[in-house]
Amino acid sequence: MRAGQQRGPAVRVEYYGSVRLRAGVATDEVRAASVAELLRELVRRRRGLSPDVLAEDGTPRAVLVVLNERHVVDDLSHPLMPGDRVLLANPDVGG
Amino acid sequence: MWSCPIPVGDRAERSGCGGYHGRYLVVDLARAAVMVGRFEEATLRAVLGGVGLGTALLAAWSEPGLDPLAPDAPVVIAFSPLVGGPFTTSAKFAVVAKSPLTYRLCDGLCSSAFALAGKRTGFDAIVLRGTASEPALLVITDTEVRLEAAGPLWGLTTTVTEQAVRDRLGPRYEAMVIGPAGEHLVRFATVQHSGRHVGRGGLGAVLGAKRLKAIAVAGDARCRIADPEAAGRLARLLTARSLGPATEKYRLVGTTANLAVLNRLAAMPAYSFRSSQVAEADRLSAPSLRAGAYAERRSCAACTIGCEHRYRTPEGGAVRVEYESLFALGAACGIWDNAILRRALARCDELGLDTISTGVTLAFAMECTRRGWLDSGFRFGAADRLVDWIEEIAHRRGAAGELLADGVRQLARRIGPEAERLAPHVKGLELPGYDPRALPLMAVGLAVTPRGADHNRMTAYEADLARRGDRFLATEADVVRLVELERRAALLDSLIVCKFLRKALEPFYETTARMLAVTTGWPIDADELVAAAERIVGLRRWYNEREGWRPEEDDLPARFFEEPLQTATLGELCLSRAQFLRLRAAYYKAHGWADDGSLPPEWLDRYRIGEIVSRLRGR
Ligand code: SF4
Repeated sequence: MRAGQQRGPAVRVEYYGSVRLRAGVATDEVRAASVAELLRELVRRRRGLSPDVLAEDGTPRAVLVVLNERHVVDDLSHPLMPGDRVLLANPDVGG
Repeated sequence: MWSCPIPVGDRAERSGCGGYHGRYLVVDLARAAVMVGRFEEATLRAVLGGVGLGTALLAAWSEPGLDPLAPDAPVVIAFSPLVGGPFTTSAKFAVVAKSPLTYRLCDGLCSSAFALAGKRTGFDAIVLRGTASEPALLVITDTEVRLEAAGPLWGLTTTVTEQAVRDRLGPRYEAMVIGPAGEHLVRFATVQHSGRHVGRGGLGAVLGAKRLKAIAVAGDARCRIADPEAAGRLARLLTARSLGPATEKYRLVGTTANLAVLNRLAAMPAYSFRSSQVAEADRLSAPSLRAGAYAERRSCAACTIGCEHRYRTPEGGAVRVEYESLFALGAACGIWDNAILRRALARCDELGLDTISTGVTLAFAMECTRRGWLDSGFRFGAADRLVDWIEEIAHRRGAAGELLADGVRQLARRIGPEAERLAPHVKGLELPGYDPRALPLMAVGLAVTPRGADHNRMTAYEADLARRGDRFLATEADVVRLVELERRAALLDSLIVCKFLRKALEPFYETTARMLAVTTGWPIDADELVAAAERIVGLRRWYNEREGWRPEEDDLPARFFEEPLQTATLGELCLSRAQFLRLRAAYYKAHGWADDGSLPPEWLDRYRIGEIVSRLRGR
């Protein structure tokens, strides 16, 4: 698959806190089959996210990734379903 | 009114280790007497400073069962070995006393130049006892202690008082002050220094009961640093990290960033804990706040992070806006008008009121009125009345002053058992902005911390969001993280280092041990610091036990187990009583405490709690 060419279900991405400032937008719509694929696409699309929030290969650095407001994502191979919501926020939510 | 010189011999004496003066000052306001006490190095090494040292001194210098507002009730101001050193965010001090809101331990932290000037008086801690005969200003330097009449300051707001003290004494002095709320013994009155507040638990009322309007400090006493070169190198490394991704949220947005994300996670309480996810929250989110109202970013003394984001008030001033304040005065009260909230926050600061307790108590009155339990004018969304109610509470006048100035627990007791099941507090301290039904580990954290419903002494929400997978399925295995967060918080609050630096301190115990080692010269390692942290956690609990703590106090209001939240994205959320009890039991076990949460004799012996306190008592 060429870089930028997307497949997989449509997923909504929401950015919060300083992650939003780095992304430059509040939300994104992305097609991706897994969380790893999604994060790689975000690195490509939102250059401000890398390298501090996400590594060049999409590995999370200083970011909390939550799926559908419930699951804190650890396993990047986690498959995505149509309509899933992925939230990216600063890891220290609170304080 | 009176003055006492510090004896020359006491001035010259210095501690054998770096970072400490090795002595503390006791001031008896009623008897016009001062005394200098010495610390043994072993005591300092065991409880460090800040909340650890402050709690030990409080226990040593008070008789069990004293009313927090009684003349003999002590209040302790504790500095730390790092104050005045090169480390970023270390200009902090603790104020420790028995809370008039909870009747349990209250240890508040505050930042800035008071810590630096206070430590230059040549003392690691100051214990205040007794009551002044009239409104007073206490002045402490490295050569004398003086109590001055402060009648003209009584009634002034916080910032005006601070300026008046500086005008009177000169720019060399730093002052912590109370506002009208402290004078009127509002049980959630704050102590202010330089726009920062010792917020929770009503320590402003403790000073008000002593008729102390302000405490001013200055001096030239310095502590040596054991290894200045190594300290400098480590300080430069931490400063560089403090400007990196680990603190980015605080630098770029501030804690207001929490509002939108907690709302999205269905964890931001609104309408007095009836909802935890509301569309209106968008109006208080960081981007909405910023639009047209952003004023500036500031920092505490000796801080390179600068998390203080200030917003313009309608009156032309500027006010620091934090998530907890927006939650309490805004979301909890159903008030979404940004400009009114900025004005309300500024009034709370000027009057010396804790914004969390003020907002949550007001919101609870609104809820009781809505349910028909209280015949009052408190209505959700009444933005036009908010500032008036705040004024009434601070001055204990009008309906708000009469009903709300003693906090949620007292209000619920007046209304009856139905209200008591609902009242959002633990041990009398009003809940902060995290709904326990959405964060099961935070629920335990809120229940067990000695200060009452407290988000800051454990930062337990981090355990929920560090849990991989479904956060609602937390098990006993996850409690390890809770205990670890609590220990880290105890250490940060005792060293004292700002919690907003915490992610930049990894590896945590090794880094903090190094900070302490290069400052003091002690060959201290990570294991010793873990033990010190656990000791301080238990010491705080031990103080509460001594003051009458009962196991049933480590619980949440029945409502959180009985009334589910309806959320748009996660459906119905309720806290399972069985899960809560399991997690709480695992928490006690992880500490090595008894099944009911009390401290077993062998645990107390292992951490030498009784010995440390009685040595301080023996002075
Ligand atoms: S990060 Fe914020 S609260 Fe902490 S020391 Fe700096 S300005 Fe003060």
